[in-house]
Amino acid sequence: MDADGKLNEQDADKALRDLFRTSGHVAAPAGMDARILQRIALAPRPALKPEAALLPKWVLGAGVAAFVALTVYLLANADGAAASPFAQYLPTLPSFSVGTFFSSPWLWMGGASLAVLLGLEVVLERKRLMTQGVR
Amino acid sequence: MNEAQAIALAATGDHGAFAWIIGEYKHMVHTASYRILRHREEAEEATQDTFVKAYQNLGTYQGGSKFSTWLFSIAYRTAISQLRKRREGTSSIDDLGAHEPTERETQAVEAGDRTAALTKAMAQLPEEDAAIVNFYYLEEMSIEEIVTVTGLGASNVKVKLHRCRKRLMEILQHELKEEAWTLMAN
Repeated sequence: MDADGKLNEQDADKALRDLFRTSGHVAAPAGMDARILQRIALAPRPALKPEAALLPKWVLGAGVAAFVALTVYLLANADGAAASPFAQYLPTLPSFSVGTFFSSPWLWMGGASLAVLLGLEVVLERKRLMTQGVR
Repeated sequence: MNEAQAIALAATGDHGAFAWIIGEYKHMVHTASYRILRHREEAEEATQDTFVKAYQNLGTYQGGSKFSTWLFSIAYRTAISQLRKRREGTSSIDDLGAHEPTERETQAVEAGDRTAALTKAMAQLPEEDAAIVNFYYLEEMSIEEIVTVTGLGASNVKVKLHRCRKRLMEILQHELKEEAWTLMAN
């Protein structure tokens, strides 16, 4: 307190805090809980929280496109290419060995990673739906 | 049941869990609404609306802030919106002014009732400022939490608190008898 008998800012802060603590809350009207619950009974269920997928849709789309392109390419360059309906459209592509391609560790590791991510996505999605009561 | 369990269950549509949440927070939300609206029935309506909105949006509560902060931000917006509607619908300039103390409040203040004096003093602050003071002193929220709830800047909140503190102390010093004032200062 200063010489004029007024509280300094720190004391005023403490005095107000004590006063609010003593005074407490303005009590909610009796029966309000029941009235809220009545309204909630008529309200729609809480909206489920949308969560981003581990693999965005564009990644899956790009993967499918790449797979289709690769299939076309392989068909065009496989042994007996004359049997491929695409061979006439892809005459300048270099030769390609299917055996070398499928024995690449990069291909298998990439495939394994994709499988793990997709599996994780499925498990997490199932867990989220179970937590939120959707079965 | 603890708060985290109640929130998780209520988000699945469990009314019992949400009743627990209402029980925990109804007085806090009602107080915040009342400080802004200064009208019992309107404060109850705003409190009900707050809980209904909270129930419908529980799925969006990320847990990044305290649940009370999230709930207060709904309560604050709901009460402010209701206050604006009331102002738009009010033609008399007298109805827009500060809350006039009731006879009971005046008698209580004269008798040295500090709670009544506080209520009377709070009613003389602008509504939004009274809410900030309530959050800071009664709910003991930090400046950052008040910023989250109100959407105001931190410096703005600090300035408002400083002005309100000064104004409240002036009013209380004037209203309360010397004895009560001395008690408060100690």
